[in-house]
Amino acid sequence: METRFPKIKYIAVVGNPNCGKTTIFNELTGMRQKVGNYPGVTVEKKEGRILYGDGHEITVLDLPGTYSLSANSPDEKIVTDILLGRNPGVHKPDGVVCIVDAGNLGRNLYLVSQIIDQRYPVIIVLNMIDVAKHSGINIDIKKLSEIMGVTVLPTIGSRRIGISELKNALRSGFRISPAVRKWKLPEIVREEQEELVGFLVEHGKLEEDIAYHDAAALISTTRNLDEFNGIITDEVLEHVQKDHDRLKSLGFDRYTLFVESRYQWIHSICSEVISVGQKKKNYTDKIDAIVTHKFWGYAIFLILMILMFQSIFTWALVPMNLISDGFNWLGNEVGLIMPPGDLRDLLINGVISGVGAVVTFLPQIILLFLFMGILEDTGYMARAAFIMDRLMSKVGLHGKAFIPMLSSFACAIPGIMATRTIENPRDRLVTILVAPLMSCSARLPVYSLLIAAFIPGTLILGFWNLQGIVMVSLYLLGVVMALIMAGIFKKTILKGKSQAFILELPPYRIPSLRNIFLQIKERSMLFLKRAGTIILGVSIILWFLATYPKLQNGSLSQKLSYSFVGRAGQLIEPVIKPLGFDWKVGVGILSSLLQREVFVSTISTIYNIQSTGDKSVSIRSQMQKDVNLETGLPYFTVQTAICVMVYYVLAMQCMSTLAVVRRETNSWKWPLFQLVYMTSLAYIVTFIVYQVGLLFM
Amino acid sequence: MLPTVQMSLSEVSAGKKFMILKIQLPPDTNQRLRELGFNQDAVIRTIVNSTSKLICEVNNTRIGISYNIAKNIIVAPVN
Repeated sequence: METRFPKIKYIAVVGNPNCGKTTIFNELTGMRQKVGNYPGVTVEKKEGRILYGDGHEITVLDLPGTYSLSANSPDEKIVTDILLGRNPGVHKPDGVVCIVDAGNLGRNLYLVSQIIDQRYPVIIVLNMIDVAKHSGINIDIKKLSEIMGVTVLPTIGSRRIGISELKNALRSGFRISPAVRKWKLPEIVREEQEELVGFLVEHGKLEEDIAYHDAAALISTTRNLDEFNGIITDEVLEHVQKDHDRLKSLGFDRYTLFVESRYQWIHSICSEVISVGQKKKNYTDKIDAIVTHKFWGYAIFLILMILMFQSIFTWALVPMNLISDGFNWLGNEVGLIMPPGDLRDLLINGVISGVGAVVTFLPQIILLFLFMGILEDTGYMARAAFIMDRLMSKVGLHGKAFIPMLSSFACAIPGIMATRTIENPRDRLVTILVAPLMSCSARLPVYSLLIAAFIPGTLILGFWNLQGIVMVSLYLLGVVMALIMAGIFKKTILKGKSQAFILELPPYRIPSLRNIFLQIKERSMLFLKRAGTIILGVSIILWFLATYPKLQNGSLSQKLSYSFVGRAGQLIEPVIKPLGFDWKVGVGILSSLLQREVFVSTISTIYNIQSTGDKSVSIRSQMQKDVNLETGLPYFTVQTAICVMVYYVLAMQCMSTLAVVRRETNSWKWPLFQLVYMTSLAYIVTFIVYQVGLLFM
Repeated sequence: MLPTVQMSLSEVSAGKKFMILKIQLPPDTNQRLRELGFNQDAVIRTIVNSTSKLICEVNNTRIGISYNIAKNIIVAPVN
């Protein structure tokens, strides 16, 4: 069947996990990307555009990595639904670009063959052809193209080789494969399937291609047929049940029959097109033996983590000081230009100091995402999950759950979205519930401010900076509490057997700087956008609330406590007093209910208003100097600082996370539960820390 | 003809090649393993075998699996 498809405008990029799909997508679309959400469902939708010289335009949809169309995890279900045209928010793609890891043709062709069975116009991309050659695998591309009857293109995504050929092929290279459904089931089973297909078309009003997919899925399903009640009609269920019984009586293993039969066909293709040559020396085995070693593996992981957090602290200082100086300079300039009055006050103490206090932390956030990107891209992340499986299984979770938790160090939102690779719904929910306990980048400004102000930079054992140790301890506290809570949830509300551990470990690679850069850019823009919108708004409102009503006479501190903010803070003070917090911290907590880093801008606004306006005195020193006039003792001590940080490690102060959890779990029940349990946990633990601390003071 | 020496994947030492004979696991895990290339008669190579998990190579790809899974994959050595 020689059909050309010149009208293809909307294509999906599909492939196995770790096949280099994202790199190809980034190379194709470059900066013209847009991240959105699939309406009604939970997955991040990534679309990009390709603009050709003559004005022609193609939209490319990047789908999550999947091994098959049998929809084991939420991620895989998205791919299956979109390709079958079942996602209400996304129209069916006109064509599919199948990215194939050339080093593992067999397994990748498994997915490809499922896609061509849907009669999609496809192009097969043999990616990482260089790595395949290196491991002695040579593929006869011409022959593969002949057998499959479609365009097959070799690429090396990371080096941009083959990308322009691919771009050209997208305009004229799509073909429907003549190898549609060429694989062979045993005759009796094939008849059963065909009969069910006919039945589904007639009774289920399905298109033939979709019925073909569904029939195979229903016959080989590992789920209990009762679970399909309400999804498919009783007549269909009855029919499927009969098929199951018949196949069983004939001695067929219906669970594995379809997979094995398809693979038999694929193996025959592979034996025709692959020639195995000399494998070049490769160090992956040796590296794996060390990084997954039962002692060295953990040691290396710990060293990497410490290195990451120490460098976030030290390297980021220079750009952070530059940004901070910039905002101070801006404040001074505005002060010189504008006449004294409320508006000048608002601009300097509200807007510039509030937004500036948060934007200052951008370099740390960039570094954090850089590190996470490198860990992911080099292939180390999967190894970390592998060695952590032992620890995770102690609390009833899967090692895979470790990846979302590690990503949550950057931000709980991508972390929670990464749980979509977890197949077991209960395990996934537990991971979603505990992931926000991992210290995210929004907590970093809070920790940084308080550590710099109150923890001395003493060297311990000659080389470990006390500030760094406190920082690592805060992160560890989050991890330990996350594990404890996961264990509790798995034993109480979300009981169930934990999933067996199966995880692909991608080959070690030189990370693609372009991929990492794109990700950092996306996240930094999000951070700046929030600084320019929510934080700006909160800063302005807070300035107003901290300035009015005005007390004409009295010290600055008295004026502040007379203001709305002062009154609100004093109102909640009895609740937070057992934690060692005064009303200013209370205002900080209240104002940062929506997002944590607002705490820093709030504290900054409060202390700027309270100070004489002398910009040379930093917030830090103002906090240190802030003394309770009645007792003569400072409000803010090392102990208070530690308590505030502990509170921020554990409390759910993030509206965006709750919104994502709502979307991912499809109910308000779980985000509300999460809000209540995290806030209670934060309160209880901070209370204990403060009260125990009092005994030693 | 079935090879005479059979053992479970958890018992084998690292660095050797084996052929898969049987997978005695629940249907969902079994199906997933097969989709990942653990097919009947497929040849796998073990890379790391520690007490709790193991890494093996199948179709030139590394897969990490837990001991409990490896225990239920029956293999025979290949030369």
